[in-house]
Amino acid sequence: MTNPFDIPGQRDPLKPLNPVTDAHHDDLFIDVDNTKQAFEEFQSILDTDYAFERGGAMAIAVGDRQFGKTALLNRCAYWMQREIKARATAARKKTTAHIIDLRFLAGDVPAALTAPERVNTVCHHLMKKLHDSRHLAQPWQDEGQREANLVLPYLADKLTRDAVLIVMLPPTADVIDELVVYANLIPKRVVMLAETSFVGRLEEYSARLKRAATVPVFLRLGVLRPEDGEKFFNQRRDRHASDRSIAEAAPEVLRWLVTVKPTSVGELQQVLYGLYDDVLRRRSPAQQLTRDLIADFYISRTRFGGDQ
Amino acid sequence: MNDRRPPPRFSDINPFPPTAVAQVSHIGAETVTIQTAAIRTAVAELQDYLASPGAGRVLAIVGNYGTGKSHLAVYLLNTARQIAGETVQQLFVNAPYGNFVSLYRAFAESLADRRELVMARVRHFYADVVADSMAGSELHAEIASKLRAGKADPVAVVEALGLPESGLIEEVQQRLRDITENKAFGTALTLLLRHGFEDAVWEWLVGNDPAENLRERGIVDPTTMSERSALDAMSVFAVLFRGGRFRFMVVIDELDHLLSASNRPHGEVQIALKQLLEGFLSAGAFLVLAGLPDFLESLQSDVRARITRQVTMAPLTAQDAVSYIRARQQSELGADRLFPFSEGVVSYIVDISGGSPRDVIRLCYQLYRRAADQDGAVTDAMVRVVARDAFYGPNTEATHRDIRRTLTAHGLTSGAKNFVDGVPVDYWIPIGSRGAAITVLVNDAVLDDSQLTTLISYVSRLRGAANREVLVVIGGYLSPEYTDRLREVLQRDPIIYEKRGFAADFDAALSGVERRLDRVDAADPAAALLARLERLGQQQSNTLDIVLDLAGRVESLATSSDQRIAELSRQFETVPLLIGGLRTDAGSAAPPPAGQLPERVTAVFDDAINALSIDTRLSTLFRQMFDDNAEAASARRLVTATLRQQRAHTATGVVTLLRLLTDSFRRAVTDWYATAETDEHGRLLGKHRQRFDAIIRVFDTFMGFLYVYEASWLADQLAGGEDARQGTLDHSIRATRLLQGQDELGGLSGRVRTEVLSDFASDAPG
Repeated sequence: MTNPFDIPGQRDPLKPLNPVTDAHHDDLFIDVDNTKQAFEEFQSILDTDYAFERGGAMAIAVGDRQFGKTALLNRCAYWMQREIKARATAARKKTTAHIIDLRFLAGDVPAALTAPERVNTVCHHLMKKLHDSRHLAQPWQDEGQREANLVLPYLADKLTRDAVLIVMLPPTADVIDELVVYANLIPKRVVMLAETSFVGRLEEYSARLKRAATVPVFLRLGVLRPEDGEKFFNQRRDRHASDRSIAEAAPEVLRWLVTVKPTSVGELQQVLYGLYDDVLRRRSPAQQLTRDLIADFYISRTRFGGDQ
Repeated sequence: MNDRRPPPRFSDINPFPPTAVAQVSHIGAETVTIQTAAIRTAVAELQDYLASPGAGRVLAIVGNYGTGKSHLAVYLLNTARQIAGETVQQLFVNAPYGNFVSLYRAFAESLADRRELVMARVRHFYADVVADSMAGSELHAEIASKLRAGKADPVAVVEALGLPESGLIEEVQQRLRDITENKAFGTALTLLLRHGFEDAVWEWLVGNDPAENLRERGIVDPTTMSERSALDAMSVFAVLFRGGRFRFMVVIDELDHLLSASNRPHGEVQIALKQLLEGFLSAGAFLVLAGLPDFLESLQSDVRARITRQVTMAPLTAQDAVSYIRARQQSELGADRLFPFSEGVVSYIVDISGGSPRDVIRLCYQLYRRAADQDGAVTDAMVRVVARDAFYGPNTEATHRDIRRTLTAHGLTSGAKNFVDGVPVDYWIPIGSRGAAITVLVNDAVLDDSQLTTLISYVSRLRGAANREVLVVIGGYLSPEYTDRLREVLQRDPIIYEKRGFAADFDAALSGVERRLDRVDAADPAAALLARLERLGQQQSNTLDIVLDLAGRVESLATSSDQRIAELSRQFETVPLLIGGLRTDAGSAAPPPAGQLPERVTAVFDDAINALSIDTRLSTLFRQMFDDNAEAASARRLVTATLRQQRAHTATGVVTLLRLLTDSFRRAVTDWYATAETDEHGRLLGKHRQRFDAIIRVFDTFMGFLYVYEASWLADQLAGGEDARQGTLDHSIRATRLLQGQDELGGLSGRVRTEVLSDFASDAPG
């Protein structure tokens, strides 16, 4: 029996899907919660006739941890890169979108740094990456330059002629001033994809973001709807339709699982993957996913603080 | 009691402590506490508090110097720990001189030393929030109850279950803001849950300006912006510790440093104080406020009404002292006996010490030693000698210094010791031109009738002349009865020397008699005016001297700052050499084998050695003497003034002996520590423990032979040059420093013992 919640080609099944690095992942997205709507909102960036010639663009994925922000942005970047290429081909242009993923910087820009320190560090690495991957028309001269506002506004003029950038920013801290800074500095031919888990704080900034030079598109993600549990389960299960050894879910058990308390898509994936992993390891694997089985699983997973 | 008992023997160990100044770290299970009524009341209040959940208490402990306030406070902390164990969180704060901002700083710094207490509370809130987010979920019921009971770490749970961390932490922040009613505190405390903010948050909590990353989060003002904000901040902590299974106990000692009849806080501070006490009460905390009686008088009645119980430290009775002596000999020597004291002697000791526990204990220590030297029981005569020589003696110096200062400030001059009408007077101060004069008699403690009779006869003789005023200064204890009898002949109160407040008392008395004599002299107004003018001129020139001297100092400071920096760095280099040199035998600079001792123990030794810092001061002075500048002259003056007194020579000897003894003690402890063996539980083996106790005993015995206060006197004398012109406030600081120096040495063996033994597992009880 296989674990239907395993992600092909990905060692850690709890990591966000990423079609940019593995195109197969594009088929694994499931329309739960608000993801479909959020994705469509993102697509509207290209529908209006920006074409990145007049200005930049920005999207901010908003939702708590495990709500699927990173996976959604991966999907957006993948889609946009292909869409730009398709449109360029149709228009006989050479425009190419390059994805610059700066999320590896998360550890270098901890929350304890001030917002300007974070922005400047990110910007420095952006320039270094562009230089190294030869997306700049001229070699980057001022390596010591750390002030984002002296670099970002002039970036469009320094890019190679047909380049468009999709920049994936590290997640924000609880202070999200940096989003306002980026929204004001994004040059044309650059799309910035940001994410924040501080939903409450974002409201305090919404007025300033709406007045920014580039008004960001908000991609809001929430907890699962009652029907999402079953939908998620079935789509994963159906990918192994012929495998009879996979335990089926008892009626209503998934609806119960996602409504017993507000549940995120990440939590659901984590629980289901763990459950099937558990089932697989047993000498006599269960035939059905029941409430009791799930309850047992929770008890075994929540033995914090001893008394086993 | 029993005439046929074997003749009692003296022990090598003096069962009494040389000093009796309570310090938190030094009071352990072995400390003997005299169960007076005050202590019983306070303990009953504490027991009641611990037994009844909910309401908090504010206990005020008031009493004069040395009446055992701090001892009681520490005793309460220990008792609470014995009853309630780890569930009671405790904080001891010594109120500094200053205002409530300084108090908050002291409070927050003690708290910063125990950050885990605050962290545990913040995590507790986080655990509650996480548990609430699982409310109603049968799947999470178990983990939720573990979180609420403090048995599961919320950070780990959130991580393992992939819970929405950011929203949960935002909720914690909201709750902390609500309960503390303080947005900045809510934010700061929540940040403790985030990685990388701990230091910044604590910097702000202890009163510093907020760092930039805190400003970004809306924390813009320091907690110590005003007295009000500092008191508010203290209330926040009381609230933070409310609830849960923990009780919070805070002792604020020496509150009279902040609050006194003359230092009455203004309205806004009184309101904040009231809120602080209310905060502690509603938070279910136990707050102990200890200080001199007049700290209570400085509080508005509505603030005082928040004090749930007040305990006044009464003087010891003779019976209390008898019990103490017995208990002390029982605990130290294993013999429940009163010898070498007798009930009569004890009641005399209590009488002349005014029942002050600190003084009783000091006298017992000295008397035990003297009785052992003479191999006989303590007698009344012995008590008198010891009380005068060893106990009140050192005060006379300070008394005279204060008197001279006050006279100078009044523009008055005095002849040296004179005989007036056959009476030896200490100061003879002529007022006006008609022979009017103030005479001042300075006496040690008046301990028996014959001394009192002599003093009364002197006063009567001096008061024979109409234009003469007599002031009597008593350098030690004067019983209320003697005070009354003296007042009858003197027509005013004798002035009792106390470390704090004497200068002010003497100043007031002097002004009073001066005015009266001026009136007597006013029969000839012109002459009186002339005399007044002359005095005014004298006063001005004294002031001018000080101003000129200060100006000179400022100038030399400004012009030679470079030289001074070089000089300073040279002095710093010399210090370790001096200390190091005394630690080793042949004066070699090789460090002693201290590396083998735990750092804390080494620190205790170093503190003791440095306590008096006489070498450094002396060598600096000697070096300065040979320079060619203004400082050289004042250094020469100070050295002359010191060396002219034979006492200085004795004191230097005492310093050397102290050094050598301490050094050998340190060496013995180090050697012992290197070879000490433990059982498999890490407990010291019996014979090694005995050996250690023997080393401590030897040190204590020989320490008992040394007049530590002579060394303190010398240190004080040498410090005199540094701050002689800074007035009386400075004097009290110096007196404190002096006492600290004595305590540092007097309590050395106790601290070494505590620190060394804490390194080993203790014997498991039962």
